Amino acid sequence: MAPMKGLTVFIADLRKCRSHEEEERRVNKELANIRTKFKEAGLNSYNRKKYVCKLVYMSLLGYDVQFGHKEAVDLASSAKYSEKQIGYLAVTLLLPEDSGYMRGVLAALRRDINGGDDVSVCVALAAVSNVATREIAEALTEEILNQLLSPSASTFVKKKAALCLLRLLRRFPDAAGAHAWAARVIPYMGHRDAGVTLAVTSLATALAQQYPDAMRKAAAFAVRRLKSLVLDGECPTDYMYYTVAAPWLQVKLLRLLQYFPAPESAELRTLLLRILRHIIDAGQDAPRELQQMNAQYSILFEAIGLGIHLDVDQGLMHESAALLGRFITSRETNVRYLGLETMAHLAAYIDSLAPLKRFQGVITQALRDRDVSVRRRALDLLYSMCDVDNAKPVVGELLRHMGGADLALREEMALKVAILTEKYATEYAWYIDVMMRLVALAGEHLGDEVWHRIVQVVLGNEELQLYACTIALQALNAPVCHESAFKVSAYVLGEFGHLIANAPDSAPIDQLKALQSKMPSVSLQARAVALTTVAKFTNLFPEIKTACLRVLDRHRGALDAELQQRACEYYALATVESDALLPTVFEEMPPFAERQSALVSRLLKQEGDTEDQRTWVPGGRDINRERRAQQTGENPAEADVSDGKDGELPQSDPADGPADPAEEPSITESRRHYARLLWESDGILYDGDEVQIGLMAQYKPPAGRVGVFLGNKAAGAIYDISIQAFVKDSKDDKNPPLSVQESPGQSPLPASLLPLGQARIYFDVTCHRVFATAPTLRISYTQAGAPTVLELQLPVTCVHFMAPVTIAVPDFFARWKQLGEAELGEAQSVLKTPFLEERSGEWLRGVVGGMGFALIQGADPAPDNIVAVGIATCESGERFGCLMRVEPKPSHSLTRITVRATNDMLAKAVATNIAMIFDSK
Amino acid sequence: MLSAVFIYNQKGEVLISRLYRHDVKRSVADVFRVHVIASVGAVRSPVTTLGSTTFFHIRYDNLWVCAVARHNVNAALVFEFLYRVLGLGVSYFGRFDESAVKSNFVLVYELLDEVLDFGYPQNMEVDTLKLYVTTESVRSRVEAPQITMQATGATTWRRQDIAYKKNEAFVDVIEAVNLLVSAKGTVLRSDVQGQIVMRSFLSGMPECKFGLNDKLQMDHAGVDIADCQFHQCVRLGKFDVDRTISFIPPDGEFELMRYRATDAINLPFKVLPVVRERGRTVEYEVLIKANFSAKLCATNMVVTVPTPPSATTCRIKVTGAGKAKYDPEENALVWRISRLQGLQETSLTAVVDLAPMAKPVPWSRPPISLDFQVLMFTASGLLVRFLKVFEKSNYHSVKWVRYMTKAGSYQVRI
Repeated sequence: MAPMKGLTVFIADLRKCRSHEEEERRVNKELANIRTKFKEAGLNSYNRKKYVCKLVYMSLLGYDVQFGHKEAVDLASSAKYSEKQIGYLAVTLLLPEDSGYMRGVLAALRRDINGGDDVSVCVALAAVSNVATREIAEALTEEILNQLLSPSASTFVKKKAALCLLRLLRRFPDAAGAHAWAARVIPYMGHRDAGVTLAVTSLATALAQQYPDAMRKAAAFAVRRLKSLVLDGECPTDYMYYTVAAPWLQVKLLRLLQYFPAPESAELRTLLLRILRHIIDAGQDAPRELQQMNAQYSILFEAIGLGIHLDVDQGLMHESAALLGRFITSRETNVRYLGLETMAHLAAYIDSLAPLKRFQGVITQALRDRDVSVRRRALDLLYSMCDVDNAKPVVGELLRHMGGADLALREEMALKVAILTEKYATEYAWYIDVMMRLVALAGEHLGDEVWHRIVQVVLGNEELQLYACTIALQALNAPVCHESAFKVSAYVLGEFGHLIANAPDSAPIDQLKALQSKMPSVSLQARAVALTTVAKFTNLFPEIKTACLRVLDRHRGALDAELQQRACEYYALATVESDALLPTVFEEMPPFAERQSALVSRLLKQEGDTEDQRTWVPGGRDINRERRAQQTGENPAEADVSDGKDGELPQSDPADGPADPAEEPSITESRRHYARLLWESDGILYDGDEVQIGLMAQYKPPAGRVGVFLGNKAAGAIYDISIQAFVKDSKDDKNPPLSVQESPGQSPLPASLLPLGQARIYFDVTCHRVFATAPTLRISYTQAGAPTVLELQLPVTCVHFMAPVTIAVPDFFARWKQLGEAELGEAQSVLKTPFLEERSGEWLRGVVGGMGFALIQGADPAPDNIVAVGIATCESGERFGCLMRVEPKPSHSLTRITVRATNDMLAKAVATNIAMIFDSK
Repeated sequence: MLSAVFIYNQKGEVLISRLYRHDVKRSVADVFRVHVIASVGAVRSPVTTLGSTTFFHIRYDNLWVCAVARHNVNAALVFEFLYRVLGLGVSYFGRFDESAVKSNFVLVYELLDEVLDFGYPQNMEVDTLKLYVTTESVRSRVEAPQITMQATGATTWRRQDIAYKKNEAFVDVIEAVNLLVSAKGTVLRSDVQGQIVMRSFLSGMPECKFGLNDKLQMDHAGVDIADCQFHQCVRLGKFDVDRTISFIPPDGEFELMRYRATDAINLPFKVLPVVRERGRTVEYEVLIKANFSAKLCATNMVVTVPTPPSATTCRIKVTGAGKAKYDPEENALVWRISRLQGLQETSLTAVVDLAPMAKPVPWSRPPISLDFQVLMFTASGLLVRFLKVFEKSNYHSVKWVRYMTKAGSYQVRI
């Protein structure tokens, strides 16, 4: 670039400025000058370049440069290289992605990539990589690919094109349409120029993560290329780095191979093994120079990683383990770090942990390393290599380090200790001891999950409860009791305090006193837990009821709303004159359903990678096995490779639906949830092991909108989600009584749903006529390779299109009689309602109101009876009145329902719905 | 009390460092430099507490003056002290800046030794200090007993043996008007910060009595002045009883009192702005009327009319007094009027062209601000009714009164 005096002077001026204000004044002056200059016509090339450069400089300093974008685009579109260069520079730095000038930029880029000389193509490719909007990615991928594939393009254009494609692919995996051309780039991995190979290998690595089946052939290329580099020593002298042949390329190739399964042909496999052995052998002798060491070790670590991934030769693994053992004692921090990391990888796959356990002492030492990242790796490794045999020493070691560990690490450490302890605990006492120590040590760095989990485990294991109570009381009596420990103790005592009530110093009143003594010093949340415990004590120990009531009473005036509410409610419950109520409410909690510990999901959630996908996660063999199974399940083609089959997708397309009607899932399963949704507008429709389906409905007769929420409860992600709603038997009906459609303008369902993720979709429902059958909801997804289809009845009945109307009290029975005489529609049923008690009128009224009826107070002479009116509206404008009378007889456990409507079907539907609601109560 | 006083230049280099107590080290100067002077963009509170050390600082010219305390000291007292130090510097060196400090190191240290004793402020009267902290290397003219007499006597601010041939007293009433007018023309805020500065050249120990047209004294005919603050020579007891201001003045110049007035302000100028944004241009019509007697005149007026940040060319026309031009550094039209007679008016019309923007950002429309001076006019309407001087020798004295109103922050939204 030719020197520009004006620019140099301007920058010098700004540097000379003493204060920010001074600089701002100078910038303002320059901006005004440039604005006037740009307004004048006939600016020459030199000046235009100079001013655009000044703008770029000012924008880099953080000033808002809103104008001048047009000039930058003009420069970029110019035919002269010097203008083009500055133009593209300005475009990449100044223009926002949604700028209106992007079209012009796109045209310029297209022209340069297609027709320009090598330098113009390169400058345009660099600009594409930096700008990379979706529009550009969609429009130019083809052209850039042509540059890479064209035989006439020079090597440095090819290099740039490959890297540019990589950038577009990473930014918009879907826009680049990579599936179509992924396989075409593979041959370039064998390009004679090592630079091109390196760039294409990077691209291939990214592609292999997305389209492993299309990229399958890349593995063979990679192996051959490795062979020529490692075994044959063929490397251009330019790419020799401290006597190591093209280390970057080697690392990339080894990394790429980790995304594929072991090659199927025996020839390739032995070749690959030879290469790995060669690399590992070469790693035995320590190089002298730092740079050479870095290069050699990086190759070595990748090679070990690949060896672990291939999982073919145990001898190789053991040798690697010995080698790694040497590295983790190295003086170089980087080598230590990589050694620990790779060892954790090894621990994730190796069959026997024995070769690693030899180094346990060293690894524990590394927890005290002065480098924080090394400490973290050591923690990962210890976590990965823990099993039943060494759980106690490892957990003990981790606990010992917890106090000294830095804050960032402490939370992760605590989580891992909690998981390991639970997983490998053989004695109950040990588990409780460790957890209580953990809670005391890690303190505030502990998420709620940990103490929740302790409670869950205690609830689930009867043998644990007595000991847990003893320890809990001890913890409360200790001079210092940490918040989480307090919560656990309070909860456990509330549940099982009676187990130790006869022990010395553990009388109910002692327990209450211990709880009370710590209550003032803990947070509101913990106090709320304690209040619940006190309330449970009123039930558990009637002898200290007055003392408990005093505690509750004192908190009735608490400033915090939650505490106050709890205290008031518990107090009211405890003072109600009913013998049955208190024991029912404060019944012992049932054991928690066994499902995956929230701790593990919490730990996995912390992993968030922006670059290449990881091929493994820390955490021992089981997790990685599962993970791998999941991945292969997700893409069975990859698993089929070894059988030599062509990657044919199995029939898992949910759109086809289940072929065999006998396999249709039963609808009865979620009857309870369904009945509840007949009178409540939102709630759970289905709650299974893998997914939970929630519903949220809003009606504005004759139309409504139903939102379906799909939550993933499984440990792994679910894929291929589809949610459909339709009315059965009316698929061919031209004029169905009820129409169900997806609401327009909502975002499509995600391709996959991570654990704890949620997807939602809305349906618009319109009632054309009164109808009898509820629509069906079909949900299909694939989890861990197994496709699942759920069919559920959607709680949308003609009763849902009912709106309350009020009529005068005397009019009701006049109308009632009138309808009875007209005999348009009447339904009557006597239902068994053993659950109804004297005071459940409120609930009944809630049900009737929830169904869309207006309650008419005082119309019926009997006070317990309920009479109500509603009007159902159809799309056609037809309206049907509906009157209902509910006569509960709690003494006989019977309730009579009478419905009279101007439509027979409607009356029946109301009666059926009520029957269902009562039935499932 | 104060543990140290530091003076830094603009770059944060320590020019003066004086420690008064042993609870801080010289290195705290670096702490302040790193955390306050060198930290860019941080909110700059004048009081910064780092650890258990508190730094009080003021900026003046290109200097940072910073006091350090380890105790919970009275912040108002510390700032009063720091401003007094500035005042001392100005009166000793003419101006107080980096070069003045650099060329008078010894004197600055001598002064700092004198005004603070173990961190407690001592006598800071310029006139008294000048008696024994002298700029030239001459022997102190005053004998030690005399200094003791004065420093411990009833009037620490005045020597006893002052004699003038001609006894004169000058009183300057200086008012700063603050105004904020909304775009619709309603006054949102208006008040006056006043200051009465006196220069006395009177012999002996004169007893002065000073009278203003104070509303409380004048049976509702005068002005309502509030927040009065007096020089230490004024007898506050007397003021509290019958609102008379009586005092024995220090010799030379001093600030007698400060006050504030918020009611019935006479605004010296009326500004009628019309600003229209028309696509790629902005049109301005600004009319200014002088709202005081035709006998008086305003001088050194500067009207700053902000322009949008994307302004390119401006066509400006002034009808009446003054000249205007576009100042790109300030993003404003700057209109200078050297002299505007009372009851006159002058107007400016301008058309500003804007550069095309990629994404138009609405203009924030900052207010028009005015700067001016009007002599012999008080915006609050305050007048000096009398100044009486009584002295044992009963000499004749001459009194002069001047009034001046200047702009504080005088802003009109557009």
